[in-house]
Amino acid sequence: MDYSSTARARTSISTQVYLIAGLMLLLGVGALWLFVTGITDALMHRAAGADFGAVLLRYLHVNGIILPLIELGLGLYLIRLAARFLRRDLRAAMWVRQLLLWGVVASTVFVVQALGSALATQMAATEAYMIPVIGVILALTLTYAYLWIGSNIEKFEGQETLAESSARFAWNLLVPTLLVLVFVALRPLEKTFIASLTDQRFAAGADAEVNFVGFDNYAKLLGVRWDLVQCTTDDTGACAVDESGATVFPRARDVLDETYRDLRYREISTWLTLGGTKLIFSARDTNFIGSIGNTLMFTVVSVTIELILGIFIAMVINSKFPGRGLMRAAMLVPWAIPTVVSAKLWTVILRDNSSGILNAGINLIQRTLGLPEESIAWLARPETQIIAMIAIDVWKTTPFMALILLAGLQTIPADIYEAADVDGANRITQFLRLTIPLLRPTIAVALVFRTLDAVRVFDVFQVVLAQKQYSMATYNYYTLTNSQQLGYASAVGVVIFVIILLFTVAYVRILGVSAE
Amino acid sequence: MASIEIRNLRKTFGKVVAVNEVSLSMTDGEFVALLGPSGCGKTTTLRMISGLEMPDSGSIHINGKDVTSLPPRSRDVAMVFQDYALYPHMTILDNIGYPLKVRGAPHNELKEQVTSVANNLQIGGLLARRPGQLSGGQQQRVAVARAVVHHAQVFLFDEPLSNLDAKLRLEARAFLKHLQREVGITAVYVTHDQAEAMALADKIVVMKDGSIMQAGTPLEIYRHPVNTFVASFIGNPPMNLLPCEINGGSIYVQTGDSPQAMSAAGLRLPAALAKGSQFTLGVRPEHIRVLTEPAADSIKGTLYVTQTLGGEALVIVRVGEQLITIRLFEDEAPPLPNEVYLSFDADHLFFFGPDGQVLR
Repeated sequence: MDYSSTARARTSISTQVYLIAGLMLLLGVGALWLFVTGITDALMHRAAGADFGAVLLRYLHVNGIILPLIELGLGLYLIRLAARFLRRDLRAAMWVRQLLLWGVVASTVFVVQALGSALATQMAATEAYMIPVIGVILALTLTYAYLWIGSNIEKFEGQETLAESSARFAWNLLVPTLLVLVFVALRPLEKTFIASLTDQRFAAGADAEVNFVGFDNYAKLLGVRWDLVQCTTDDTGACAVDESGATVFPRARDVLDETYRDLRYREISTWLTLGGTKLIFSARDTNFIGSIGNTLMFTVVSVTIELILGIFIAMVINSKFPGRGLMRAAMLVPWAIPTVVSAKLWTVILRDNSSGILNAGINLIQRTLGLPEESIAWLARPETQIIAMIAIDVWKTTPFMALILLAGLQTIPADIYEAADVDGANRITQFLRLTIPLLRPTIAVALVFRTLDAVRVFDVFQVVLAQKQYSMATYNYYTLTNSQQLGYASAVGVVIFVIILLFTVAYVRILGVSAE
Repeated sequence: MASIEIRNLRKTFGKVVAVNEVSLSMTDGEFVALLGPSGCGKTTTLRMISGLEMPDSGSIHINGKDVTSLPPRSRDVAMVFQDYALYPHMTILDNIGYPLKVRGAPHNELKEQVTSVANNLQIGGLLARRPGQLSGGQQQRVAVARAVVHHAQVFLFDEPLSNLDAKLRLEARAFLKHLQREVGITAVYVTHDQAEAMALADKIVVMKDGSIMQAGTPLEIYRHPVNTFVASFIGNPPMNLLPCEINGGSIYVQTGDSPQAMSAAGLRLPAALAKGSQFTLGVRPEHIRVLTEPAADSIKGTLYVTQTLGGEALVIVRVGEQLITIRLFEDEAPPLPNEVYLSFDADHLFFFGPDGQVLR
């Protein structure tokens, strides 16, 4: 190649490089412009006299939280990339090519979608088909740019290492997943969070007024306080005593400060009574605080019992005995029955008189022992309601736990037990020092699955207890459907999400789930 | 240290007879190798000695005490497994110290003993690691250390070297032999590698199909194999076995369509070898000479291939339809014509009857 043709090649390259860099720059600036207009629009509203809450709500409704962040990040990245591309950096060129490919895919999807809606609406031909045509032109331009970089890649300087091209390939595979994640997980979460900052009503019609209330919903949900209450004094100045000899206390709302009454605090329980003083625990939303307590109690107790029984059953099933296959299948029956069905079955079992199977059994025993027949109203008494929930869940979910643990047991090589036999360890030592440590990763996975399931429990509580006692999820349901408080229910949802998040993080940290 | 007495041991798995009426006795400090092809019952025998398998019938005595129905932990045996069976979640220190730990040894004493054993086996620097971070040879040493550390009466080795590469295997072989000399252990060693058995054992027990074929010192078995199976199993390359017939003063080697005659004049034929009878002639590769000219006691063959092994060379000759291996103790096989003549060393011939048993 002689000098003049090289020079000509250079100039012709430059044109395309400038065009593509310009395109990138334009897209980058466009993204930043969207970001900035969102903010300036809000500022102008504020200047026009709208109050802060309304402005913020409007901004969040229009832009959300994730979108501006994406706009900002993408805009800055594209501008920087355009600059590097202009310097003929090979690595930048590879990335530009990558982005162009995604652009082609996106604009093709856009064309198909626009064409579909154009056909559906049957608008006047010229107008309706303008948008798809622009889309096609865009797609063709991007395709040309993509192909051009591909065939002129040797004109760029620098070198891409294998690790860098692998990283690019990894991003290629990740982008669709990340997009799906944004749309099916982050976006709904964001919408829920935004709704939780309002007093929006459920199914209230499009023109209903929605006000920004800040964190009021959360304050009401999570508002708890502990107070000391003094006893009612009689004429002598000593504590008054009722007929049964118990110290008489005044109602909390009558003696505590105004906020207790104004914010509608109600007493949940007495924590401690010391002579003439008692410590009471109150909450603004006693149902929700109660539901947290119920759910945590349900989760901790049922998962613990399930784990212990599950290990036991898994070890039995893992050993060789005749009828093992049948046993495995039979074990799974409770897990296979839909929860709603099994919950209904259990309400029959737990009916509060002798028409309930459990009470009939208890009565039979009492009769044979010559004791007076007494039935227990399992589902009517608050103290047995949660126990019943735990029993149902243990019955239903232990097989699942056992199955996961069985899979873990089968990954433990058999020969180390033989080695331990020869080394002199007995069965209990082998269980504690070999089985449990080697099962730990499986136990961690099983615990994560079961705990997260239990924290979200809905069906058993809904079918058996309905509004007698709430789990967090059933409470969320009733605030939405019965009280129609969309904003408040959203706050409940966010709190549940945070609690589950805390559990997950704790598990990952403590049990090292991700590491193994 | 212990003596082991096994009487009429029998074990079946379903319809398969794994071990059939095996009787065996080992004296104190003896190193016994159970040798045989896979499926011969050698590992099952070992596992019954360890207590991991229960025999259907028969008895096992260690030091005169009947241990047949005792669990492994009550037999005071130590075992090195084929896949080492190290505890993957424990450090090497804990792995080696485990037998001491379950016996309630105090931590200081445990650490001291483990360190001394580990240093002996040159794995002292690895005590903080886990089995997964060790090479195969190192893991093998850890498995041996775990067996050595609690001074068991009997050591059982279940093909401990089969997962090592050739060089490491030679090293480990020398190391095990040295260890056995030093500690004076009674050991039962299962292997399918005859060279390993020859190198290590005081006594070799050759097994086939659940029964003992022959038991004796390595040299006894090498020099006086009782049947064709033992003859072909011991020695590397294996003994050449040629179907023959004796008639008059000649032996007819029947390896192809046309038998080749070979003078039997200089041979010491066993008395049981009747005239006109069929038999199998056994000759080891090192006891054959390759000639370029025919002789009275030679048979003709065509050169198939030569292999240079360094220090020795193999010449493989096709006689009729059979390949005969000749081992020469030279660096390189000499140039040979395509047509060669083989002459057998008359002092080192084996004669086996039609049933495979040696003729005397």
